[in-house]
Amino acid sequence: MTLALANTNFSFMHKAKIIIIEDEFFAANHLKDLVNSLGFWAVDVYHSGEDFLNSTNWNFDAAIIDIFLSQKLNGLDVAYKMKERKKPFVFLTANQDSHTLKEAARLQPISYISKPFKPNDVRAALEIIAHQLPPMLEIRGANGVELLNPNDILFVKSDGVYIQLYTLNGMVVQRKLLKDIIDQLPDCFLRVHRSYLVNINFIEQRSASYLTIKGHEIPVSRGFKDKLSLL
Amino acid sequence: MTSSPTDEFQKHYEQGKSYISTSLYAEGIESLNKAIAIAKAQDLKKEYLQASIELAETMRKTGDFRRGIDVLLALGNQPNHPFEEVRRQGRLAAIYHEYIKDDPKAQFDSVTYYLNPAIALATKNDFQTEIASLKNEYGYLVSRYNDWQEGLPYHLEAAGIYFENGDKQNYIGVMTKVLTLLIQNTQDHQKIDSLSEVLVAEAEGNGWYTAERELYGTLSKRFAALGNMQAYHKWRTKSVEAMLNYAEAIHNRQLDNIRVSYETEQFQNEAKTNAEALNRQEARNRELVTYLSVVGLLLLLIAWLFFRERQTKRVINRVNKDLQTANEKYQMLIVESNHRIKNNLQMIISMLEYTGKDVNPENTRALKRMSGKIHTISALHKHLYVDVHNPRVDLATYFNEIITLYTDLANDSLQIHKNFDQVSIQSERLVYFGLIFNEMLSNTLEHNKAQSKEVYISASRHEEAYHFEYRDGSEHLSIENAGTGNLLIRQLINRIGGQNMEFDPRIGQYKFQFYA
Repeated sequence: MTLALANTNFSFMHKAKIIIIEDEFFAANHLKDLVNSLGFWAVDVYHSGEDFLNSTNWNFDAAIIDIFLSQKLNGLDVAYKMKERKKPFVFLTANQDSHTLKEAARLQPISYISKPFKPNDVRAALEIIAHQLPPMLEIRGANGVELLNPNDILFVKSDGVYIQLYTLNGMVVQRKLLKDIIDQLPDCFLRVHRSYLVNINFIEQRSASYLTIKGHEIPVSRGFKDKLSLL
Repeated sequence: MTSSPTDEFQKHYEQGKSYISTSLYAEGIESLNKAIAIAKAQDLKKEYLQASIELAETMRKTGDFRRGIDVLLALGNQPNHPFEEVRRQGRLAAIYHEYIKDDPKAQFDSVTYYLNPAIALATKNDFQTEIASLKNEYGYLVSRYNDWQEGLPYHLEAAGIYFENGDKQNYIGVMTKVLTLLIQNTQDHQKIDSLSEVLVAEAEGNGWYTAERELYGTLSKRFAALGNMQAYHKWRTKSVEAMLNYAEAIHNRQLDNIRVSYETEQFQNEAKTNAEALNRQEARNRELVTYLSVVGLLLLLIAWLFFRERQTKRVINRVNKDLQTANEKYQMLIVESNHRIKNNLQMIISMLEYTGKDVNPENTRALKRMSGKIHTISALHKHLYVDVHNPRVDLATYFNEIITLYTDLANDSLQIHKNFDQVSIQSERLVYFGLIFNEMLSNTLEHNKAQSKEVYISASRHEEAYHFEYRDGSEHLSIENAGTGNLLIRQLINRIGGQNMEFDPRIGQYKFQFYA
């Protein structure tokens, strides 16, 4: 069995990939250092909601979002998008009035971090995120068992008694049935065909009979169209 | 509606005459007296004379001659009212004619004393009926006192006047007297029969019962004297019938009078009752109008008060709305200020962190201490605004925030034992308490070299004052040799009005008192 692990950037070094959306430069950098120092990976920092939506590839596990962003989109708008994509998030806010908190609570964040934040507040919030993320997948290869973050998987293709796991950095084959891995994947995975499971966060195009993820055309069966149309 | 005095007089006057004509003399006199009283009160001279003369005449009929004379004499001569004067003198003559019976001379003199001027005055004024009446009276007097032939012309003249004026009843009456004189004084049966026949023919069937009675009585007496008993009984019977008819007529009229009187009284009572009811109704109406006016005024007052209250409410609502808007703006500003303060504190802390990346450990420590102070200040801001602005914050709440902060920083090497009595302090002052506590904790972390650092802190109430105590059990430099940290603590304690400050460097103990 051939394992294509050479170009795969597995996330076993970090508990989760975190993005930070905070318009204040120093606070964002401070937070990034803190996140990295706590065993997480701050993959990107965005200084506005617009900046985030325009440039994200959704390849992250969770987000820390400042509620009051200086441009048109505020943190609540961004959080709404996160919820659509089933990405957990933490609110960062200097405001503690009940109106703001009620509005924020409707979006069901993982936690709140109050400004000025203390390291332990950030740590607690991140640990909750880590606890709620789907567990890492154990990938057996030539170098033994390695861990793969399920959120890094673009889609899974079934090929007889094997499955092919496509990530941004390559593909890995495992001897498993498709039905065996479904339960180990987070909610962002959707079955669109008898032989395909896709990560909805990476869908770029879709038509009546197929969808596209990073250049891959994936067929969509008639029986799974309805689920897909709900997205 | 009330009647005029003249109407009132006339009513009683006519009523009185009606009573008298039916022999109801007592009732007649009462009505006439009422009429006289009204005429006197209202100064109705002519009416007064008429009623008084009628009253005197009634007294004549009832035989009360003396009082009748008094009434007529009391009236005095009335040159301005010749008709009434004729009647007054005529009645005086009639009363004296009946009153004086024992002395024919006095009777004649008295009667003629009044009759002659009365006849002259009536003749002068052409009062036909009165002339006839007076001359008949005079003829009767002269016939009796002097000679029947002397009186006869007066009777005939009177009869002629009555006849000419169509008063056949009185004509028959006078002519009956003439017939009586002829019967008594002549044997001219042809003339007597002829006159009798004419008078009987004129009298019968007219209901003039008194005239009939006199005539038939005269005839029955004549036939009695002639010995013709059959004729006597005939005329006697007719005379009695006339008398009975008269009595019946009088009786009927009396009944009519009584009925009219009763009905009048009933009517008057009813009118009086109605008038009283009307008065009561009017009084009730007046009360109702007054009541309605009061109610109307009250309604107006209520409406005015209601309107004014609405106006006031409107003004209050507007002012309240303005106040609410101002308050909302104020609250919004506070929220925004608080938000910006915390954001700025966050930025400063983050800048210190950023700066700390490239400095030596000594400077890093200084930056950490600075960062700690800012965290201490920012911890207070967490509690300054929770939905509403809280100008006072509980000391224990604030200190617990700082304890959490330092416990985190010390990575569990710090144990803090606390005991805070409830005391809330103005935020402007409380921040200095936080900085004092922060400085003490920083000192402990820096100077206490124990692996596990234990700190005891309390703020307990003793009467009005609070006793603050902090102790970390480690040895500190004496106050004279202490660094800026200790100096800052002393200055801050002074700033919050702390008193009796004590510092024991051997056990790192600070004590002072303060007031809330």
